[in-house]
Amino acid sequence: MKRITVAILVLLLILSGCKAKKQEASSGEAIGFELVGEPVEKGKNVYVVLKVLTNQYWQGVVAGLSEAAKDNKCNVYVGACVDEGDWQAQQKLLDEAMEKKADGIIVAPANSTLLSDKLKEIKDSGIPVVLVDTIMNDVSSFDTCYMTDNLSAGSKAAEEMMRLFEENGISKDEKAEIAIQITSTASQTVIDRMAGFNQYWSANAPENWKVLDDIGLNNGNKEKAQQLGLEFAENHKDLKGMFGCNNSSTVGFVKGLEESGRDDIMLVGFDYADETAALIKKDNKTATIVQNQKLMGYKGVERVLELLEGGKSDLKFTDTGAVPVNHSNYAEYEKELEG
Amino acid sequence: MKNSKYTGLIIAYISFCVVVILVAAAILSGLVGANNTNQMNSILALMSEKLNTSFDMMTDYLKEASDIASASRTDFDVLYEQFSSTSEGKPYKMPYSNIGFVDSEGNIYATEGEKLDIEKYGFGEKALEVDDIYITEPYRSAVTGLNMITLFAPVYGPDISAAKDEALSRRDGPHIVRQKRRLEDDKKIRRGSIFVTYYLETIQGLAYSDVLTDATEIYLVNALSGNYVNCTGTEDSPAGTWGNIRLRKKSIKGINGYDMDEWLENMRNETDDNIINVKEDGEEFTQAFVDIKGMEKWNIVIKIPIKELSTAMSNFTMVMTVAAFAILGATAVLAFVLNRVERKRAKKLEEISVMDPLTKVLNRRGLDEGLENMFPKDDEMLEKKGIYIFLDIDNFKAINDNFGHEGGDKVLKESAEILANYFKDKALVARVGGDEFNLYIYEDMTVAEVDSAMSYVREAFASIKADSHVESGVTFSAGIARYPEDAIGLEELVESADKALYTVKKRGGADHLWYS
Repeated sequence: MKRITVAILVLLLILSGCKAKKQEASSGEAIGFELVGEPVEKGKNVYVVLKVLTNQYWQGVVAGLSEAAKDNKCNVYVGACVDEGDWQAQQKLLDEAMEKKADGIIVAPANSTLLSDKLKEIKDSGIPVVLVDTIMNDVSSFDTCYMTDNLSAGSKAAEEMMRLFEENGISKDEKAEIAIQITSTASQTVIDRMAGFNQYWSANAPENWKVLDDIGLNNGNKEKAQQLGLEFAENHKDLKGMFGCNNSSTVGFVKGLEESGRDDIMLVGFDYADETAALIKKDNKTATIVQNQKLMGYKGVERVLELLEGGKSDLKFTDTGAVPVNHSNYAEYEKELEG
Repeated sequence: MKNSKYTGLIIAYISFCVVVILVAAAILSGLVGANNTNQMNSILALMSEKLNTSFDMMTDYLKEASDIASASRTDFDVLYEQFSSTSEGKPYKMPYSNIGFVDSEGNIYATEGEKLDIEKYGFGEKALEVDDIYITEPYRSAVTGLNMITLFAPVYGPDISAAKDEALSRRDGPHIVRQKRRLEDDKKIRRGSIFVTYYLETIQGLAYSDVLTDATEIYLVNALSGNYVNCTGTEDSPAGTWGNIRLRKKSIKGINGYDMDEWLENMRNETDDNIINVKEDGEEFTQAFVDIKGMEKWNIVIKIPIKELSTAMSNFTMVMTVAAFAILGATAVLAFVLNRVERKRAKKLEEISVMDPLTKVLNRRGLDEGLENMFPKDDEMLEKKGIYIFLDIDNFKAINDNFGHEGGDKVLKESAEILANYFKDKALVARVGGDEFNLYIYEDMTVAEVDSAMSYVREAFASIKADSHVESGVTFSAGIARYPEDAIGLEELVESADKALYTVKKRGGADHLWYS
C-alpha cells in the first residue's frame, strides 16, 4: 500500500512538472528596455514590449516606432523576449514598464489569452494599451490593435495565385493542384492566412483547381520545409501552385522547388526573404505578400499619444494591410525598403 | 463414454449461451448506435429549428426595415439618421451592432468604422448583385475587433427623392408627381441596400445550449473551403478563432463504418446523411451538420462525445452482458458440479455392477467384461498368453457352520484380499460364486511362478482366522489352464481349468493342478 502511495505521488509530481513545463515554455529571459532614438526631455514615455528583436520583421516594427518617436517627440523604450512565445517574460517587462511609470504601453502579445489579466490591470490603471502584430481574444483588455488582417492577407495570396495561374496560361479546364505549407497548427496567424486563402480560392477558383488536403507541416524546421517542398513537387505531377503561409514555409517551398528542377509551379508566400526575392526577380511565377510592420510601430505610437490627449478608441482593430510583391513591382518595393 | 456425452452436451449448451449473449450484446450495441443517431437527429432538429427561427427573426427584422426604407421617399442619409437613432434611449440593448445603408452608387451611410469594413470586403457591391437577403462571411470588424457578420437586404423604390418630389410638384403640379410615383413604383428600382451587423457571438449563442455545455463542441463550417469558426472554444482554441478542416483530417478518423471524406462530401452536397461517428485524440464523438438558412454553404456542426449520448444505454448493455455472463458462469459451475456428482454416482453404480460388494474384487459380470476386452469375440488367437485359475475354498460350508456367516464372510474377504494383493496388476481376480474365485493372469507368469504363487496363497489362506482367535486352516482347490497351450478360446480355457479343478476336488482338494 505504501509503495502504491509513493508511486502515485511520484506520478502526480511528474505530471504537474509536465504541465508546468507546458505552460512555462521558455526561459523567461528578456531583453530589457532600450531607448530608440534620442531622449526627449519632458516627452511622453511609451514602453513597447515585443516578441523578439532578432529578425527583419521585428526590425521593421522598431523602425516604425523609432520614426514615430522622432516625429512625435516622445521617448520610446523597446523591450523583447529571447524566446518568441515567452508570455511570462513579457509579463515581467510589463510590470517593469509600470514601475517605470510608463505613460503608454504598446505590446505585441506572445499569447492571446494569458496576458489578458495583466493588460486589463494596466488599462484599468489609466495607461493606454495599444497592441501591434497580434490581437487579444478579450477585446476589453486593450484600446486599439494594429496588425495585419491575416484572413484578408490569405485571400490576397489566393487572388495573387489565381493571377499567376491565368497569366502563365493555366486554363480553367486544366487540372491543377495547390500545396500549402505551414509552420505550426498552434499559430493563429498562420491558420488565419490558410483560412483566408481557402476562403477566396473556394469562392473564385475553377473547380479543377484544387487545394490538396495534405497540408505540409514543418514545425519551424528549415530542412523539413525544404524537404516538404521537394516532396510535393516530385509526388504531384498536377501540382501547379505552392502557398507558404509564413516566411519559413515560403523559403522552404523556394528551396524545394529549386531542388526539384520544376519550373511549371507558381509560388505565393509571405514576407520578403532573400530566397523569395531571388525567385520573384527571375520570372513572373512567384509572388509574396508583405506586411506593413513599420506602419504598425508608427501607428502604435501615434495612437498612444492620441489617447493620452483624450482621444477616443473608435476603432478596436486596424488592418495595417498586406500587399503582393511580384515580378512587376519588386523594384518599387525594394526602393521603399531602402527609403 | 456416457460422461463424455454429458460433457459434450454441457459444452454445446455453454457455447450456445455464449453465442446468444454475444449476439444480444451486438444487437444492443446496434440499438445504442441507432439511439445515438436518433438522439443526435433530435438534438440537431431542435438546434436547427432554434437557429433557423432566430435567423428568420433577424432576416424578418431586416426585411421589415427594408420595406419601410423602400416605402419611404427619404434619401439614405436621412434614413440612416432615423434608423441609427432608434436604439437611443431604449431600455434594452439592440441585438445588432450597427445599421446602415449602401446606395446603388456604392456610397455608404454608416459609422466611419463600419464604412471601412464594408469597403474593405466589398460587401456593398456583393449585396447589390443579390436580389434577396445577402449574409456576409464572418469577418473581423475594425469597430469591435471581433468577428461579425452583416446582413444586407435590398431597398427599392422610385428613383425620386423627397427633394426632387418637391421640386417637381412646384413645376408640374402634385397630380403629375403622383402619377410618376405610381409608374416608378411599378418599375421597382433598386435604390441600394440596408444592412445590419451582428456579433458572431450572436450566432454562436443561437447554437449554444446550457444542456450541452462542457461536453459539446460547436463550429460554423464552410463546406466549400473547409474553414470553420470555433463557437464553443477550448483552452488552445478560444471561441471565435478560425481553423480549417484540412489541418485536422489526420487526427479525425471516421469509425463504425463512417468515412470522413464522404461526410464532408455530403455537407458540400447538402444531403440528409449528416451524421458521422469519429475518433479524435483517442475519444469517440458523434458529429453532425445542419445548414444555416441564408448563409450559403455554411453549416453548424455539433460534436458530442459518444459516451455523453449513450452512457445510460452503454451502461445498460454492459450490465446486461455482465449479468448474462454471470448467469452463464453460474450455470457452468452448476453443470460442472452436477457432472462430477453424476460421474461419482456412475462410478459407484459401475463399481456396484462389476464388483462383489463383500470382497471388493470383481464379480462374475466384472470378470466377464474384463475377459471380453481381452478376448475378441470371434475367438481369434491372442498374441499374449494367459492363465486361467478356478479356485474354490475347501469345506466352506463347514466354516460357515462352525463360525457362522460372519466368520464365513471374513474368510471370503481375507481370501479375496490375499488374492487381490498378490495378483495386483497381474490378473483379474473375481468372486464368481459363494466360495469360488476365478482368476485370469494376463501378465507373463511361468508355471513355476504360478506354482510359487499358489504356495504363497496356500500359506496365507492357512493363517486366515475366521473368528480372530483360531486359525481356520483354510485351504483351497485350484484348477489351472494356460492359453494358448491348453485352449484356443476363452470358453475352452475356462472349461479346461474347471476340469482341472474337478480333478483336484476328486483327489480330496487342498491342492492345485494344471490342466493336461
